[in-house]
Amino acid sequence: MPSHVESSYQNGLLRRLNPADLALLEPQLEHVQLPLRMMLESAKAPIEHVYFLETGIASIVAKLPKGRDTEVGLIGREGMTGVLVVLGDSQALHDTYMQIPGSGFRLPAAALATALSESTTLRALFLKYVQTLYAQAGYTALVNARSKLDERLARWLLMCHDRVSGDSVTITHEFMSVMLGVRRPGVTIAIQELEGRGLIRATRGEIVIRDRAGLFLVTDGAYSEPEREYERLIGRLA
Amino acid sequence: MPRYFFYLRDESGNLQEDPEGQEFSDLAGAEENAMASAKEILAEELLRGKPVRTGLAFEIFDENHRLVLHFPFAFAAEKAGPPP
Repeated sequence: MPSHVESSYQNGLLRRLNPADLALLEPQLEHVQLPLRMMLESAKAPIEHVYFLETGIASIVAKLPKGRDTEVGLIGREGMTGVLVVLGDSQALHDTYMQIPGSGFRLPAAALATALSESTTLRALFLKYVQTLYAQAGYTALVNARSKLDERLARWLLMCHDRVSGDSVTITHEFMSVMLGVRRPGVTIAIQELEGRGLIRATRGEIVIRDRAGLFLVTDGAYSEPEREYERLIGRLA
Repeated sequence: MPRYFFYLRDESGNLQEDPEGQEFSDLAGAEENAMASAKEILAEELLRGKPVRTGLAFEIFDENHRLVLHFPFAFAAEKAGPPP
């Protein structure tokens, strides 16, 4: 495989595969559009495909009864869905769906399982990614328990900013309220507050990051540990 | 389902628009959301060490830009209602 083809992937995992591992996956990789709200995995259902995002953002969302959903994992071009397949299972635990539309490559879960059994280097890389997602989920639990809404919102915006090209995050307040586990008017107030401090510019359906360093200060320590883990284990996040 | 827009009137009388709105089966559903949301916002302020902002109010508009409900946050501080 010529190296220029390998490096053409925007996905941080596909891009870092060695040629032999890429050759194991490529025959069954299929480029797909990933529209808003597309379900990539459904809780308790078999995982049909794993997805390597090139653009857009997917959320792993856990649910309590009465619609109390909250995001427990955020996946963009740095990662993949289907980490439970990497761990040897075939069934989803949570829903995973697109919250910012994009595109990517999908691979049948069974093909991934076979490839993992054939290559220790492939398994090693994907397990490192599982570890980074585990770190992210741990910090999400921490901030959901201990950080205030404005801190969590700032962290979440930084996490999205890491995973998009440019400074614009296309998302509705309604979606953000699910991701942050609060009602929409509360999100609107928190956004207006960040906007009032000149850190973001918010219009209908879009948030523009104006001052990343300022947002980082707002998080008050809630952002950066999982990101550092990704850099330590895999490489640059963006 | 009809869409309702939750404008926010602050203590100094400024009105912050809600460009997005949210769908509810009827006005009663929107009012329930106003109560729960106001409780949540007040609680969040308290958790940040701030005083309760009972001077805030939702002004809820329908799709025809008609004001259909004025909901002072003081209601949410004083009355029981659906939890956030």
